[in-house]
Amino acid sequence: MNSRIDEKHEKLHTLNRRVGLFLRAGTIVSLVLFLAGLIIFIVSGTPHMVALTPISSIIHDLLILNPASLVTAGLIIILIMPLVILITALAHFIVTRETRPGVVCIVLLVMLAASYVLVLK
Amino acid sequence: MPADVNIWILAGTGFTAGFLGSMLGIGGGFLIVPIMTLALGIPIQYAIGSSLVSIVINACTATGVYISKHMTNLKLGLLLACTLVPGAVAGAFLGAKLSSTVLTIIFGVLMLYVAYSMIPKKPRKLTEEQIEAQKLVLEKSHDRHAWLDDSYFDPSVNEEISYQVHRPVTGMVTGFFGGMISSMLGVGGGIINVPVMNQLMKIPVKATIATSSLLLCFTTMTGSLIYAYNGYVLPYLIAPLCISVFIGARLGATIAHRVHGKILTMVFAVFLILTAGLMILRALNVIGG
Repeated sequence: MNSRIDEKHEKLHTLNRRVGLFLRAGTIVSLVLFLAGLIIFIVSGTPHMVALTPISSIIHDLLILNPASLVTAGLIIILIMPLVILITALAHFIVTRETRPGVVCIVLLVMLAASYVLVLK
Repeated sequence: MPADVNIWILAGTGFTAGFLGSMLGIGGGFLIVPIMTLALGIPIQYAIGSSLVSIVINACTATGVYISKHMTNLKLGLLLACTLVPGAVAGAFLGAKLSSTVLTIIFGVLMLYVAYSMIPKKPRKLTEEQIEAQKLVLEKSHDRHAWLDDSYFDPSVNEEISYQVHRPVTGMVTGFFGGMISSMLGVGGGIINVPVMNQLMKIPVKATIATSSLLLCFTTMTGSLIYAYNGYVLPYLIAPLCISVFIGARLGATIAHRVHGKILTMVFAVFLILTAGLMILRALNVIGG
């Protein structure tokens, strides 16, 4: 009985470590992009009050080091991090066959998807 | 909207917000929004959008640290997020539709409430019978949601702290309003989540703060997305803000234990009351600006 609990604990700790690693990596990449964008804003004389870059042109604009695109890319990365947490957790609960937390993950995923649809409408 | 903003004031605001926010565990929105609107003349919707993005960075940083130390109750966090997310969507839509005057007044009133809640109060005394009755009710209902129970290692007492989660349904209902207020006003929402989880759900304070950080990731992400889609997030405003919030939060977390908490809380409460008063008076056109 105790060894089963320990095993469950260990698996949960593995999930925690994995999620922590993803979050730290995502935050650092995002901040580096923000910093790069800010430096280019200051030195290039680009008008300051420009809007975020549309997703359709972000790759092209990143290649020409458009500061707004760099910041937009950083923003996209940081905004998908919670989704990364959720998908990692869902995969973990499917593997460990934990029904209730798995169902919670699916419900939350549906909620987030519904909110995206609502936003983009 | 001004054609340009002073980047150093913005960075200073972010640094102070991150620093105080991580020390007091309430997120930085209560500083960022008023300073951006009062000192920099930025319309409140842009201030809220920027504030939400900076809180996502702050929350992801804190969650990354807490979850690696196994202090976050991931299952509980995901469960509460199921109602927080719809609340955040509702709040962001309301925030984008309401006029600046109405938003400013709501924000000012909430700041006054936060200031009031920070003033230390005497705990309500319960009789032995009341305490026993409460325990019995909690034990009876606990079995259904024992899967949410968790534990973490607390280095300050050098032992593993195991705890049970009580009243998850109440937590979910309250969470909806927490999410709504968070994205409507560009604040973290921790000021609602933390007392609910700690007082109502009986979760130890360290696990509460860690789980609240995880919740902030979901609520502020949803709110940020809606504000960004409506054009209220500008790259030049969020870049310096997020970088300085990150640096301030890291520094605040490092030296938090060296500062006398009571003094800091009182100073912050006075600051909130003054700023709230200024915001309400300006919204009502009593003072110019």
